[in-house]
Amino acid sequence: MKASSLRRLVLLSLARDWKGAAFSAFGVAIGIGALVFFISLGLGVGRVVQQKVFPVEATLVDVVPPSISVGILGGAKLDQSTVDRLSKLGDVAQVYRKMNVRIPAASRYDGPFFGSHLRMAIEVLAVGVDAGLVRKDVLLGDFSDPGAERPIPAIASTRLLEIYNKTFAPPRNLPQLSPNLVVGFTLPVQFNRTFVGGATSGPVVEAQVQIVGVSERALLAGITIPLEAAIRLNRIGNADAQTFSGVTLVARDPSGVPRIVDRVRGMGLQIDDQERRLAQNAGAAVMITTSAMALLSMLICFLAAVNIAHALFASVRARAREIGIMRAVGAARRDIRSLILAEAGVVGLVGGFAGTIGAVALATGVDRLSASQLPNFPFKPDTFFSHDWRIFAGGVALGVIAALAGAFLPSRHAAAMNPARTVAD
Amino acid sequence: MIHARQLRKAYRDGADEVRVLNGLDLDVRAGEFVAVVGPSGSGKSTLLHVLGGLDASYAGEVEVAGVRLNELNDVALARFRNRQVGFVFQSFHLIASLSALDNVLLPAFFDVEAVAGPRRKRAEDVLARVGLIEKKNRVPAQLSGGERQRTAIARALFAEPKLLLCDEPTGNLDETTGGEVIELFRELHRDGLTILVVTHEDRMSTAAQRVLRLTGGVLRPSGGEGR
Repeated sequence: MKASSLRRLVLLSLARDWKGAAFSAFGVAIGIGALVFFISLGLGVGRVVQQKVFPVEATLVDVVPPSISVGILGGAKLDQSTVDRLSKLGDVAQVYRKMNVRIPAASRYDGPFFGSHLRMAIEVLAVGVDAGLVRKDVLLGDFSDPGAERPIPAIASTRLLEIYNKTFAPPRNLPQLSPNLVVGFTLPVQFNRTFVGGATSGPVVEAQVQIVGVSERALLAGITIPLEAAIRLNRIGNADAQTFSGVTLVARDPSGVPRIVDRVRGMGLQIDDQERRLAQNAGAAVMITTSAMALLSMLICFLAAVNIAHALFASVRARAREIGIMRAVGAARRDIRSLILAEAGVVGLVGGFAGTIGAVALATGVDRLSASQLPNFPFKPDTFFSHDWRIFAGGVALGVIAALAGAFLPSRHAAAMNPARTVAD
Repeated sequence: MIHARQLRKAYRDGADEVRVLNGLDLDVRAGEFVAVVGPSGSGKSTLLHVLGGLDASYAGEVEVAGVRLNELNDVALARFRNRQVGFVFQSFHLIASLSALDNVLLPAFFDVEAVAGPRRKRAEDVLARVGLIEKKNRVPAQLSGGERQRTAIARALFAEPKLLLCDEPTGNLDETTGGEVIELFRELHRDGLTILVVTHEDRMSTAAQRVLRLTGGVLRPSGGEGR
């Protein structure tokens, strides 16, 4: 049978029982719609978790000194010689050193703040890093230590800015800040000074800290400054200025990360994978929820397939004589099978399209409702959904597959009917 | 045209086996008009279905239009039914949702050629032949009994078959329309078509050249009937 003939017969058949076909398609649409909706939601929320809440780069490995010293030699130190050894590991493309500012720091600010007036006194945490780690996010200057007389360039955390904008600023009537807006803001910081601790040794260093960029690689609850500045400040405060607080290794390829981790551990060092584990845990929670919803949706699709099977069995019984006539005028069993499957395929295609369009419409509605009704919480995305064409195509394809699966047995039943018996008067 | 040898077919009726064809032999020459008569349940329709390739579950050998049906698979049998034979049934067996023209075109849907212009023209020609061209767009419910049977005959003629197999073709028609259909068969026979009709009606059997009686699962010449 030619495809054009099959198409015509299918359309004629569906037009004759369009209500039954529409009901079957509706069942498919509900299942596929739910599936597309929940998968889009799961992937969308997962993307927010991965990209905004716990941004973990697949090629980065954070190395820290061991927290417990074992044996007469103590634990491995993270000094320059260790850094040199790390840089020579295979699979390592770049090494970025980090050193905490190991003296306390505090800031007292009373002045203009982007059109408002800000008065605050806070303890400041700071870490120094090699410029390369944050260079792509630096919007002002070259992120190097300018010396004692000039403002120290600092990078703020993207997530800190988000928390400020969504949680801190609104109740205090402070302005919302974008990364570009915050660049250039300068605040005074006194190093080797604390509001909460006891007395410190060494002189207090009065400095200005100027925000030069916002980065996901910056310290979450503090400022990230050039490594040389951190070393200088530690020296002034008589703190350790030799060993590093951590090293970030950049793997040439994500597949090389496990090998790097093994070798680093072999050197007696530890991996700081707290962020990665948090991201994995959050991702797993999202995935489990999404999978449960997807399973529920698959169940609906299965029920839709069962409904199609029932409807087609009934249709085949009702059309037994018609099928017999077709056999009498030249239809082979495979033609009858193709006809029943094609009818189901069209039902599945229409149901799959309708369900996918419905899911997209519902997702758009949820996003609009979220934008207008939900509070502006941190990391609130513009959309909770991943509008990926592959999900849509998969939804439509699954609709067709569910319908074809439902039609499988009825089509075989129809093809196996004895035409001589069905045309008997 | 038809050579059947030692045809056997049996049904199970509960614990009993009913032999409807019991070593039946049949020879029909090309261009012949043969009627098979017999009581209800004697196996006339079964014989027709076997000869038309609609029923393949039998024992024996059947050759129709030079084709040995025993050797054909389902697809080849379907092609045989599509090209070599035309069926006419007592209850017309038209598809209710299709127009008269589309019903006539139905065999074309299962052919390898597309349902295009020339085939549509052919369908209109056969509809004209049976006098229904004016009603080609009507669905069966809008046609009289005689018109429905003539539509069914047009469908059977569409593929220019070598053999017309008719199962009680006037059984559901009144005397006048039945007579018209019989006259149509005579015309088709005069044009050279081979016709095998199973019937229990005298007027139909008298139109045939030869009448055979099916009893006890075998065919015997029927005396005093036929032209």
